[in-house]
Amino acid sequence: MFRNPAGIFPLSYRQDMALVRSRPQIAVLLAFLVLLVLGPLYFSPRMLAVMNTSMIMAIAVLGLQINLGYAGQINLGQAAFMGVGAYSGGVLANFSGLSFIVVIPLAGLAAAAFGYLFGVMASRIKGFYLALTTLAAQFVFHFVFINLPADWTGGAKGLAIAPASLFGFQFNTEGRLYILILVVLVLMTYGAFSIVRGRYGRELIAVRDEDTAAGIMGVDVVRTKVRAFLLGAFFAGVAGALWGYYLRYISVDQFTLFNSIWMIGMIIVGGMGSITGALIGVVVVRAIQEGITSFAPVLADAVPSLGSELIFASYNIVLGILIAGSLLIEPKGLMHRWNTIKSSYRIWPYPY
Amino acid sequence: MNRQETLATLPQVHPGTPVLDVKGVSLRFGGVSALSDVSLHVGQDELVAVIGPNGAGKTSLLNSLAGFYHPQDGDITLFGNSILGMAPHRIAKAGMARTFQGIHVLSTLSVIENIMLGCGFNAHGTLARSFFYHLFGSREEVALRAKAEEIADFLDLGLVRHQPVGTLGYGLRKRVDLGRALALDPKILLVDEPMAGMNGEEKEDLARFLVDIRELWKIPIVMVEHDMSVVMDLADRIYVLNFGQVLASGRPAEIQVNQDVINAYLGGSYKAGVAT
Repeated sequence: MFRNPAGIFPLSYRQDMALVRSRPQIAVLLAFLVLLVLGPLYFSPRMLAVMNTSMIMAIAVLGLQINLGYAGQINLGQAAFMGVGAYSGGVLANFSGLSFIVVIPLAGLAAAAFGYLFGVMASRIKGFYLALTTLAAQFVFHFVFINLPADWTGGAKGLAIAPASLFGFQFNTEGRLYILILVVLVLMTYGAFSIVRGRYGRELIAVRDEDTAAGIMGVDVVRTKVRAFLLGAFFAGVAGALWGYYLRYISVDQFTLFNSIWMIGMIIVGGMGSITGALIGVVVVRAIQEGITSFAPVLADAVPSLGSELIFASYNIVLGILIAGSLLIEPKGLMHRWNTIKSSYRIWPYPY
Repeated sequence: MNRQETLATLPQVHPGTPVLDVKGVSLRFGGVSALSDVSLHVGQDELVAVIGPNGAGKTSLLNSLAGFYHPQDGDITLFGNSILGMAPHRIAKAGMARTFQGIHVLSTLSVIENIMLGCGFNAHGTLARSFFYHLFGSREEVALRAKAEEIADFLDLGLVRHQPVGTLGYGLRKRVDLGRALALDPKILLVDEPMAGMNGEEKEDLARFLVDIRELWKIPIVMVEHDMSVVMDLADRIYVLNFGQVLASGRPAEIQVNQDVINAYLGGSYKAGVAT
């Protein structure tokens, strides 16, 4: 249950609806942001690279959280939406020479247009059948972008992209890209919070929890489902464009079904229907992935009979264990556990 | 918009014109005829009850009014405009709100958020603007909140406003459902078995709210209900449905002595003023 921290008494509706409610909370949030911004100063090169890919992934997962966690529209094609964003961003940047400040939102919109198609379908089908339909996004993406003229998208060879630059300042090192990605992530996180706390967020939840009754609550169910896919794909598109600027080389193989399922795994681990949960899910799952990458070679050396395919194989196994495990132990995700701890701490020493 | 302003914007209807007019509605599911040639009307400032045995078509009627079912024949008009075939959310925007027989509230959201969901039906902020809460979104949210608080006050839900509805008891949840319906600024309110599963005290509370909605807010009400003491006390007029047809209609005193109704529904031992 929702409780205010001790000593906090909102005096206006605005205060009562604030997400960051007390001075210590503001201080901790700012300190955390400062710590993140200063990351390049104390992160190791590998840590920095892991952070960069994780933060890009986090943007796409935020979108998936809105789509899947808030609106309840299952989506197995988030990586494809990301790919569409990456390619549109890349093509746009290469051919028009526009600044990344324009390219990234436009790439988001391009992906949103692709997502729109599936939103329209979601208004007719749901659940299992919708999952299969969004699966098609993955294959449509692969097929289309590999078969487009090679001088547009590079075909099977992939597409090289020039580094993002602003007034001659090039984002071409891990550290510089880190700042760029962090700024976009913070902005997108803010946007995600803004949307889910407001009217549109409540409408998404209404469609998730009471699909048929939502109409009578004044919610336009069809448009809300379309909106969910638009939003989810927009976030994925922004992430895709950043991915292009980060790797400076994109190919269709970087956006596979496997990535989409990892993203769903991150949401399950972090907690459905929570923006913070999505971020936590990304951190936890990426930490485990990196753990495997570090640990598997050691294990392979110690027990040579396991073979050299160990990393990839254990990725699959761990993904399975992780999803099954969190569904068994904490189906509502880590965020739910955290909220439980928080509310019991706030009323401590009373039991309720 | 506060309540007084809402009242001022109510469509001005000729005193004799019904708010809701159902003309010869028939609804069939394959070979099953759920409603056949049902006609009824509800005037401004009226509380109309629909009663009848199980399977008589009461909920089918409400579902047809709310746009869940689309009757094959007949017409349903709200302030003279046909709402037949419209999507549920459009009918809701046209001024018809309903509560449900089962509980359909968003159990993960708090009481006040549930009511705010209803309040938001007419809000204007776009998706792109709501991306920036502090710049654009917050003003609208505060306005919705203020309106939701007004309804929460009316229904005495202030103390539980921040509790997730899923943690509340059955009676309170039904009250939240009513609040959510009221948030739509309805011009007519449909309530489907509001008293089902309530204890005596909760029934009294809810009856009081229904009377208040009608007297203070001048919202006509259509009520489907099995509790005859509530129906006979509250309703101005009663329609009795049986096998999808209107068996009788009239004031409670007339219905109580109608031999057809006694045979079909009330039972021979029914006496006025005694709960069944």
